[in-house]
Amino acid sequence: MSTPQGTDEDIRSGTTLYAVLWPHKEAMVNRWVGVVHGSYPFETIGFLRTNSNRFANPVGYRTEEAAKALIEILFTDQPEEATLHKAVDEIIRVRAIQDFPPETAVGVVFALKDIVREVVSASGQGAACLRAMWALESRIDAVALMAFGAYARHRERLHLLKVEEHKRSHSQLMRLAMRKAGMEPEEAEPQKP
Amino acid sequence: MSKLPKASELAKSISYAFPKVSWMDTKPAFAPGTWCYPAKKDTMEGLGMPNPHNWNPAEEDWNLPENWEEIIYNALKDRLEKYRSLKVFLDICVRCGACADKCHFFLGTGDPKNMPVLRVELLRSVYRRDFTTVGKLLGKVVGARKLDKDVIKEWFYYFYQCTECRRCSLFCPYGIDTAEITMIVRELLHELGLGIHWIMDPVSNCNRTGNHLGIQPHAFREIVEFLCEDIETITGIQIKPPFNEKGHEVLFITPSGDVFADPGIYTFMGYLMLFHEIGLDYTLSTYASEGGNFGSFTSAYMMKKLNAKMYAEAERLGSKWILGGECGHMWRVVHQYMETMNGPTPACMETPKSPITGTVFHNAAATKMVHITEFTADLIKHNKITLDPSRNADKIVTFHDSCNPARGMGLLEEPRYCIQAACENFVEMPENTIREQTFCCGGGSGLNTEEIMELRMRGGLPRGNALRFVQEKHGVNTMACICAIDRATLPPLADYWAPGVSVTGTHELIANALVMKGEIKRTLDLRQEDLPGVEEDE
Repeated sequence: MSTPQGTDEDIRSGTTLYAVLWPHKEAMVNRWVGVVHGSYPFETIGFLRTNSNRFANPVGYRTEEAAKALIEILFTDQPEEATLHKAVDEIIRVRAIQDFPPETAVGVVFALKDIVREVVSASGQGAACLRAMWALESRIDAVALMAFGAYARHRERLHLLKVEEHKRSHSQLMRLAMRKAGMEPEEAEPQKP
Repeated sequence: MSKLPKASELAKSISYAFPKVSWMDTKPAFAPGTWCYPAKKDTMEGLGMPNPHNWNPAEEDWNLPENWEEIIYNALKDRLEKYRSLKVFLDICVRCGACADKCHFFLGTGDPKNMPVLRVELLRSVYRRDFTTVGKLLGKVVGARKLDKDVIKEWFYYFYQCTECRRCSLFCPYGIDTAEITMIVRELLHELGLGIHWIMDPVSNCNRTGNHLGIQPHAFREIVEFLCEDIETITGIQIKPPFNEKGHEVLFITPSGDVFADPGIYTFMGYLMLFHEIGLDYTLSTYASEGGNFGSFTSAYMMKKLNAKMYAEAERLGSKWILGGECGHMWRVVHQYMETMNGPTPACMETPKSPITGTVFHNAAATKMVHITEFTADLIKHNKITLDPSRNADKIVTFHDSCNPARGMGLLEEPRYCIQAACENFVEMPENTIREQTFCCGGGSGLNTEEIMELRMRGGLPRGNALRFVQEKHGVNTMACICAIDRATLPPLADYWAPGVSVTGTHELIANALVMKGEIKRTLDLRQEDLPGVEEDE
């Protein structure tokens, strides 16, 4: 099965998926960023789009970084898992605690499929690119699963935070209660393996 | 049967169309995790708060008193007459938007009503209609609207999504203090019997027993004695802090969270070790066992009452001045409000003078209360204590400027000076996230409750984002702070946004490094973990 990886020759011939997508790389990044921004209220989008300082606009910055990493899977033979994992993890970390239902939090990854299909369809090279498209869409599916994993992980962490906070906030009261009962707090803790 | 939605529909594809309804008609959804549990009726009755009643934010009917509109109108009128600042703040905003993107809750939630300008507009629109001629005549055209029950709900929703951190005020060309608007709106809501449990329970406990958890004096003392046992394990030195003793020069007051909760207890142990080492003539009080003032998140009256307790105790014990621990809003109340609210301090009190260095704290002439990092920085400056920073060598430390000491009283250098004297590795977070521009922990002003953990993580995003940056770039593994709410809220924030960074009070670092007379060979830090280098020695 062919891969999105291409050569200069591909670009010149203009018939491979790589060649079709390459001229639209930046536009596709922007389109995807736009989709993510579009999940926020209208009044907020302008700010997300225009402020490029990573500390003053953390959501906008993380979105752009994720977009850049994500778009690379269209053009790389062997996308580096660690880089992709980090980018997906950072943006999903944000979306997992914002006011989104899970499908909206994670679903932005699938938007890349629509974006690619639009470009390919407009190029008139759909048939020539069919097999490469299959491979590419499977790859996007893999990233979506990665995002699903990140979402589940961060939600679980959120709940653990509450448990841990509760323990921390009562640590000395628990110690007092234990002492009154003639025990040391360590005795109440499970044996660590 | 409905159609299966497309993935793009689920992901809410982009729409740059104007919203169909105006902000005035967009209502918040009271989803779990976005609002705090309501205060108990009993608690409110005990405190003499107006209109105590049972209600639930998730329900349609909040059981407001019948004449609720009249109550709000009169309460707002009263505040407008009493506080010139409120009237000015409501009148002069030109809606330039300089504050809009400065709020951590806006950055984290993306909700436009968390732009400070729009959050205040929730009140301003009502003010405009009822208290300005142009608003009365032109109504909605000039942004005026009628007060209805949905507005009350909106106030509750958004003014409990403001931590009164005042970052927005820093950027306001007119100097509008949005935190004061939040304080007023919370007061107005209290007139209708609407308050939250996480604030009112501590207020009640503090009022009656002396600290937020309502720990009684004997238990308070026992817990402090536990910490002294730990100090003895670590240093071999026995410390017996005085409680409620008259005739000592200094009364030491800190947030009770430092006595009861991890990791604040290590900071508290740090205070005790420092006082022992320098031979400070001080006492603790089990009655004024709370520096925190949740009254300031409730009403001016309650803030005044809880602040006055500290000074009443200083007078009873005959203390000359108060040394205050690492706390946030306690310092804002002391620094900015107390003199106006409670007038001169008791006659027995004097302008604080360090008995160790002789330094006179003229800056505390009015309040007779010195911040512990000022006090310790002065000790270090005069070489009165010996610090061994190698004991903190395993830590790469950054400092989170706690909002109230930073923006509320300009305490920026002293904590840094202390940390750098006690630690080998110190790294600043990016410029636009520290000092006056510091980002809130997301849980200030009584919002550090666990039912809104999700919301706190949103509010904590800008801070967590900056922390993550220095963690990745410089290997930062420790974030120091000078606020007890920070010590409670930053650990989950760090766990979520920058896992692997631990949170510490500044005096925990000081005490780790503090070389004490007569101590055993130190092998453990205050958390009873091996000091760096210990394993190799063995």
